[in-house]
Order: sequence, then structure tokens, then C-alpha cells
Amino acid sequence: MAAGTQDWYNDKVVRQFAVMAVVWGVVGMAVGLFIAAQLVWPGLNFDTPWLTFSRLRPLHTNAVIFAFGGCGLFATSYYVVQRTCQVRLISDKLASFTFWGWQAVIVAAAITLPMGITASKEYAELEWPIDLLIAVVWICYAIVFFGTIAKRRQPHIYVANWFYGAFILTVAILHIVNSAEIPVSLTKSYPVYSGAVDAMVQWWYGHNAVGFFLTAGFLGMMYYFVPKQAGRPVYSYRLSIVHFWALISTYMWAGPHHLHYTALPDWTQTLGMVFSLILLAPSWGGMINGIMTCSGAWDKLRTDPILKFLVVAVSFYGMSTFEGPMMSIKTVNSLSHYTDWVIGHVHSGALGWVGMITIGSIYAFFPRLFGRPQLYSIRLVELHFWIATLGVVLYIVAMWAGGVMQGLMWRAVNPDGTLTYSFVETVAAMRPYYILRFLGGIMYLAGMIIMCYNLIRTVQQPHTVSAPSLIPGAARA
Amino acid sequence: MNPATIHSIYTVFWVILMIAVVWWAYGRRRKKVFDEMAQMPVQIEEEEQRHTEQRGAP
Repeated sequence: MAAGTQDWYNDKVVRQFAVMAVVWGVVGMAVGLFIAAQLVWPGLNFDTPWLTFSRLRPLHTNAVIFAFGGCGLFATSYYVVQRTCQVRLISDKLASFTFWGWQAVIVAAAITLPMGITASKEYAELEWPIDLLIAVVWICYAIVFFGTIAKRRQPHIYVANWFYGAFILTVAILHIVNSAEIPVSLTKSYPVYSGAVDAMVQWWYGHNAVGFFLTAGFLGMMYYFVPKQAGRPVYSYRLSIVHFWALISTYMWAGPHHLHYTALPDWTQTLGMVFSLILLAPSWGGMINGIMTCSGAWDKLRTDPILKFLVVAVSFYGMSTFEGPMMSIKTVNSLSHYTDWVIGHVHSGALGWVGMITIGSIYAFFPRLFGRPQLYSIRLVELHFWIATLGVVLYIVAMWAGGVMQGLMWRAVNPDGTLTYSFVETVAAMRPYYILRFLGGIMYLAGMIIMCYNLIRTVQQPHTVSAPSLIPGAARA
Repeated sequence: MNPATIHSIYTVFWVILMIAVVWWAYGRRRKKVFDEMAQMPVQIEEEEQRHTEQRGAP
């Protein structure tokens, strides 16, 4: 490695996070597959407390959202911010701390959640000592990211950085507010909020975790990696600015749709519903901007499976951001809420949008990041793409059909006003759909294992180029 | 202040904010910069590719 050249960009931390995103992806999805199997064959918990659905489900959600998705966001945001600002990260030590700190959080989650240590807030289950560590790591992440933007050599801040920046800032606020809790022992705490206020704070957090962690961050990915892979400029940079401001100012208010027909005041529920409906506009504006970036390069979709991943991801984003506002309408929600339709909706966003945009971006930057000429096998990427796409479709169709059936069975009443079906009858009726969902999950996980193999073989190829990193024009400086 | 007043104020604020953003984004003066910005990911990747090829194997 030529002396000096590797100093331009800090790609070490990007490599670390990229590798761990794939590793945690496999782990988190395997846990998901296991609990999907438990819903078909309940005996699979082996009467062991730490193998029960109730303890492994939060492990699955934390692993896929914060470990897989989180590492993917750290990796791509560090990659993108350095290149679009044309400077190195402000501090290698602090960047390294965010990596090891984040891995420590993930390992702590993987130990405490199966033990049954939980704060009982969905997507915020981790107990207060881990919450503190998350807060410290996240503030360091913000310092590294915004510090790098502050010393940029490019006067304009590229739009992807706006999305990453909003994600980092908002997640810090959400986490700190929702995790305000009073510890009673090392492993137990109670929230400072109570009753309906606690519920509202929780779903203000919960839905903005969707809006800022699972949407804004990954839109940052979209605005860099779709143009890069298509070799085309952003379809409309002006639309991307309107997209950004409209999206972030609307998302904040959508949380109450998680609490329709509860003790939450009625006007709050309606407010949440209306803002959720408005959200369709910025979401689709962004989706159209992402897809139309391929105009002039549509032929590449035939030959480039990485671009297929990215474009299908954006299409799933469009689908789930249409479905979401529809499900937030109170009358629709009265059917869909608490059914597996919600699980189908979430996974259309999670496997389709978040999963595929991350997979596509990792394939896109992986060879250069490791100084290799290209991926070991493009045909394996193609195989991964098809098996993952079919897996997602099987999963969500099963959960849609099953979920609607479940909702209809729950609300069915006899002429005398008694319920037509007992609860256990609805569980038995779900069984074939749970089997189909399990098969979809196997396919998606199989795709991730193919990806692992492909990336390992990519790194095993001989180095053909030295350090990949440079600042454009730096040689002249 | 009751919720209806707060909503009214926020709605007016939001509409003005959106109009301002659209005006700013679509302003004629900023068109050139934004068109350049739209090219950024492609240019960066091309430049890195060129640089890598020039240096060749270590």
C-alpha cells in the first residue's frame, strides 16, 4: 500500500461496519426464521425460557433493525459523507469507538434479551445501562458525522448527507426522550411517563424509528448508490430538496396511528391518521425521484443485478408507503390492527426496502472498498436477487391473505351477538399461511448466505489495486 | 390555547414552510448548482475509478 494514499479517507471503519452488517443480517434473519418456525411448530421452544417466542422476538427485531440496518447505515454514511464532502472523517479514534461501542450494544442485547431482561417498550426493549451506552455511542456518531460535514471542502452539502444527518439527529432525540426511565436495579427500570402519555411517547418514538431510522437513513443510501450504480445524475435534485423537508416535517406526527381505538384522545388519533395520509405525497415524490434516476439507463436493469436490487428496493418503498397511509385510516385499521397483516406490511418495508437497498449498496461499494477489481460472481448476485425477491413476495402475500382472514374471523358475529369463532380457531386457520411465511423466510436467508459466500470469495481474490481511497483533486493540492 | 388553535397555527406554518421550500428549491438562481450536485455520485465514482487505474497494482 503506497504510503500516504491510504490516509485520504478512513475506509477501515466503513469496511468493519459493512462486514458486520452482513454478519448481523444473517444472525438476525436466522433468529426471525426460527421464531417463524415456532409459530408453526410451537414445540420448537423446547420448554426453555430463553428460547421462547416472547424473548427471541425482540432479539430478532433488535438484531435486524439496529445490528443489520444500523451497521449498514454507519458504513454507508461514513463512506458517503467522506466522498461528498471530499475530506476524511474528523476523528479515526472516535469513528473506531462508534464501531466497537455499537458492537458492544449488539452483544449486550443478544445476552440480555434472551435472559428476559427488558424495558418492555417495543423496539426500545434494552435496559437502562445499555440505553446509556447507546446514547454515548450515538452522540459520538453525531460528532464524527457533523464534524466531517463542518470541515468539508465542497461548499454544498449533498442531499444524501441531509437525510443521514436528519436520521442521526432525530434518532438521538427519540432515544433519549423515550428512554427516560427510573432505574430500580441494574437490570430493571420504569419509564418516567405513565398511562396514555407513556403510550404516546412510545409510539412517537416507535413510528419515528420507522420514519428516521428505517426511512430517512436508507433514503440517504438511495440518493448516493442509485445514481452511482445507474451512472446517471439524480433525476431531479430540486425534487430531492422538497422531498427532504416535506418528509421530515410530516413524519413526526404520524405516531398516533399505532394507537387507534385506545385510551389516546380521539383528536390525537385523527391527527395521526391525517398526517399519515399526507405522508404519501413526500414518500412517493422520493420514490419517483429514485426510480426515474435510472432513466437513460434502463437497459442496465437487464444486466446489472445490483441495480435490480436498488430499483426493486425503491419499488417496495413505494408499495409500503402506499399501504401504510391506507392502514392508518381508522376504519381500515379496525380490521388490520393486531393481525398479521401488520407483520406483512412491516416486512414489505423491512425485507423489500431496507434489506434490498442495504444489500445493493454493500454489493456496489464492496470490491473497491477492499481493493478488489470486482465481485467474485455477478451470477451469484443475480441468484441472490431472484431468491430474495421471491422470498419477500411469498412472505408478504401469505401475511396479507392470512392477516385479512384473521381480522375478518375476529370481527365475525352470530345473529345473537356472540362471536362466530373462538380465538384458537383463528390461530389454527393461520397455520398454512405461517408455513408459507416460513418458506419465504428460508429463501430470504438463503440469499444472505449466498451473499456471504460471494463476499468472502471476493476478498480472497488477489489485490489488484492499492488503497481505494482518495480525495479527488487532492494530488494537485 | 386549545388543540384546535395549535393545529391551525401549525397548519399555516407548515403550508408557508412548504411554499418557501419549493420556492427555494426551484429558484432560477440555484439551478446551476443543483444540476452540478445531481452529478456528484457519478463523478466521484468515475474519478476514483480513474485514479485507481492510474496507480495500478501495488
